[in-house]
Amino acid sequence: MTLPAFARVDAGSMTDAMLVRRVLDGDPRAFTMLVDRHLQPCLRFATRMLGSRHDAEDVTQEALLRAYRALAAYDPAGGFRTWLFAILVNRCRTSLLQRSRYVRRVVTDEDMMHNAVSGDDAGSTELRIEIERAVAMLDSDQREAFLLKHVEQLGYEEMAAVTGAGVSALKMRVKRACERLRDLLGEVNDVRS
Amino acid sequence: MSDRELQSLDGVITELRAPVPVRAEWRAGLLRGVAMLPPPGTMSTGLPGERHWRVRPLAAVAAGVACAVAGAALTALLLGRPQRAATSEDLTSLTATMPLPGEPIIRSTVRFLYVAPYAARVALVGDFNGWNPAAMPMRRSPDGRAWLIDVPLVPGRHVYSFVVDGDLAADPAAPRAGDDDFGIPSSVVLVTGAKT
Repeated sequence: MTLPAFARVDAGSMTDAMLVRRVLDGDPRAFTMLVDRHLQPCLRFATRMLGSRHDAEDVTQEALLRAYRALAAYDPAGGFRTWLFAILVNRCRTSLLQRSRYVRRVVTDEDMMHNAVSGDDAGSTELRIEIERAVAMLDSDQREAFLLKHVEQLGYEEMAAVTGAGVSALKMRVKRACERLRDLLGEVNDVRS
Repeated sequence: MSDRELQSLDGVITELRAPVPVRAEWRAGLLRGVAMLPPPGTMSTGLPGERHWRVRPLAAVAAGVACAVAGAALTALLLGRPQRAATSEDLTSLTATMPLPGEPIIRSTVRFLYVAPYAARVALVGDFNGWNPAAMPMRRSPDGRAWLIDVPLVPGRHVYSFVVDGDLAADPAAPRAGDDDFGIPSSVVLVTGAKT
């Protein structure tokens, strides 16, 4: 079978919905462009959410493969990022649930070191590890809401579409996550000083 | 949460927003995985007179279809003996009947059946047709109660659904796929090899 010929795609000038349409019309290169556009935020969210780079890669890959398989179901009226994050959040929840059946969530220093962006001084890496550890100690629904709001910078309406939770509940989760983070990191700073 | 309260976490948020490096080999593996999947189905062929399917995104893509286990039973009941269908017993023998490397892949015809006497249009969607509702429209049975289609499938596990008048519907008698996306009702059929 020969694929239809497509004109060269200028990814920068195409919206997500246009790229999706192109994939559905038989141009697989357009999905690569969608992947490259969304891979970094997806991987970042999964890494911060799961605390393990290895698990984050698995979950992100699974989410993108599922998105591709179900691409015909995507409604261009909604944002592609919202749709993709809904899948990703779902996979992260499943991963956490499966993990909790066997072992209590443990974030190792090795994970922390792996997650930390390399190339900085030791003090900066140490700070990152403390932050990651504090984030890992949040309840999963608070961590999820906090990361979506303040790291991925989604609006509350978009977060509601992604998580299935109500806006007021999400605001409360974010608020409690912030309070808990301040407490946790304050304790660390108190100990260090 | 006031701006002032949030300011105390500015440094934390900045650290968490730092990009996570994407490993090139992992990205390449991901794209290889995508390339191995069947192309996602289009929702419209653009042909004149084609009906617009009302398949909603998150509720979505093609759902509901035929598990041959239930299909076989219902078909036997309504229309006589099915041609060939997987049964739950096939699960244990599935791998034993898979073709060995180099052996020709023999497709088995599976009859999918959905009872919907009042539906105007029913289609079969699944991983074998890219979840394309236009690809496999089902035909009404002679008694008008059920919708049928015979599909040659390679041995293995297939996930499928029915699209009934534009809405997704799972096969009520079939095993559900454990990896449903977004609550999409999907069913599973196990097809054993037709060894000669």
